[in-house]
Amino acid sequence: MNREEAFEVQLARWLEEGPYEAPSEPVVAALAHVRAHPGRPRTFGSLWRHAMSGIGLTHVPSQPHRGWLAAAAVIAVAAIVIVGGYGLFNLGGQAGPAAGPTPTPTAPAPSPTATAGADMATGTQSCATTTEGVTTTVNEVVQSRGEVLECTNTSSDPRLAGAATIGYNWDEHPDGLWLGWGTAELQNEGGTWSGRYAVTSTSTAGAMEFDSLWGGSDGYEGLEVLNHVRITSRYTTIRSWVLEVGPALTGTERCTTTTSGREFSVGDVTAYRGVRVTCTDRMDDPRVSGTTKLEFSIDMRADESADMWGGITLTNELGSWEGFFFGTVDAGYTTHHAQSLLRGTGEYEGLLYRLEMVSPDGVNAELSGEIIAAGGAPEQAG
Amino acid sequence: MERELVEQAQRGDQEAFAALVELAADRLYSIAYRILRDPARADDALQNALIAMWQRLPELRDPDRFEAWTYRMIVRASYREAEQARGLQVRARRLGILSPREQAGPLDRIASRDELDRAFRELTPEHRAVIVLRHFVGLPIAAIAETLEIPVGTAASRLHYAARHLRAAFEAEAHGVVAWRHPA
Repeated sequence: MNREEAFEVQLARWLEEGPYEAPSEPVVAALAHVRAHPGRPRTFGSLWRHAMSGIGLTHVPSQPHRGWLAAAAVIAVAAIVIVGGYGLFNLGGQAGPAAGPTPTPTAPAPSPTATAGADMATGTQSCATTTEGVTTTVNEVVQSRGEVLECTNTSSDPRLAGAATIGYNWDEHPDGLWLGWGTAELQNEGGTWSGRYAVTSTSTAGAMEFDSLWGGSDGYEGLEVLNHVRITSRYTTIRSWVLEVGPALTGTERCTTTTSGREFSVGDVTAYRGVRVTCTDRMDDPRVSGTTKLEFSIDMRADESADMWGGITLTNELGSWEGFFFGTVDAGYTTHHAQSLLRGTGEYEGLLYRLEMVSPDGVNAELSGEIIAAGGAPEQAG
Repeated sequence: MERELVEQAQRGDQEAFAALVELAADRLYSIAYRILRDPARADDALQNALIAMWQRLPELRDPDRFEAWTYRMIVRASYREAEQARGLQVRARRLGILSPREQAGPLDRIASRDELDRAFRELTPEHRAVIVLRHFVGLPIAAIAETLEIPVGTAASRLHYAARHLRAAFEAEAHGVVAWRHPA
């Protein structure tokens, strides 16, 4: 046998290694999707949702369908952060105090970036629903609220392994847009990681990928973990970087409600949809100063406490930051709290911006946050 | 038999389509796995390819070409999955450093297999696809070109380049050459 023949034999043998049988999950998910969308052409719903409608999702034996959704969100456990829809307070369209000029970023400033050099940990997550959410359909949007999942996280970093509890809410819109958000807490012998998470998906693909951020306590003080989560119909994998919390950025925000949105009632909840707010953010780092636009939803309960959630974009001359925020309003429609994790574009490509907002009146807010270099560690070689 | 199922599925018969999926899924998954070398992404590629097949089946003019057409669909889906993976890796690598490759082990079949795996992962999805279609599926160059909707010369060129790259890795291993490993 000459060298060429030896090579081809070796190549053929190598290619023969590996599976010859398709797993059932993607086949079932695809056929379920076809059943749900028999027409052609069809609009994709969220494909990943149909992936759940099948079977054999081992981590959610009781309710594979919703459990998988939850698992997706959970994974996110992350504590997303940010800003908020102050507009909530000003549904009548009032503006806050006149906003001053937006600070102009002169250059990507050398300000705080947490991460560089952190080692990457890899892990998995599997979840089961312990409390079913309440599902309703409002204006053709399917909403689920109050689901709770118990999860087991594994990780190559023992600080990130343990039992996680996830609160999970989601909306699915008729056009396939899906929003999920909630709270998460992971505990182990060394301490606790907790935070809020939010994830959006319009993907028709079988996988969702997103970033999330958790804060440490009870032993992990001063640390946070950035997670990149990938969820498919079979696996949830998490790549994580444990970081020291970076120097805090601080600033203020003033907002004007530009659109009050649609108002309607569902039971004792007053709902607002399509609320739009424009804000001016003045932070001590010019990279995250600029004009912020939010479009979001509000559910206000009888005691005038509320949940709010939606999209957020912060723009200045050098680039923009985009993300999803989740917030609450205390009873009596008083203090607002919101968090978000935004991804940079333009000059800010490769950076994440964690933002938290607290507003006593819904008009003026105090902001804090940090900028994180996304992906603080090298990809592991083959 | 398969032609009848294809024609029925083209008219919207979901049961016929399910039967076609039953016939094709293992073959398509095998191809996706070998292009992507990642079971989770191969899952996604298969799922997306099957849905795309349902959507686009009416466009298939010759039902007898169904099998070749399914190869095209799974290769395209694999390309998309590979692109997603590449974006993630580039981002995660931005702040990273490269690690020296571990010293090669003794010349044995396992070492050669590992070297092939490393070299294969360095190829683009387009080059991986021609290798898989040629050396795993067994298609001739002309059929590969038709499947991928590229000129025959392009298919031959890709195959030549990919085979040369893999052969170099194979021979470097055989001669104990130690290289520096690129991130996956």
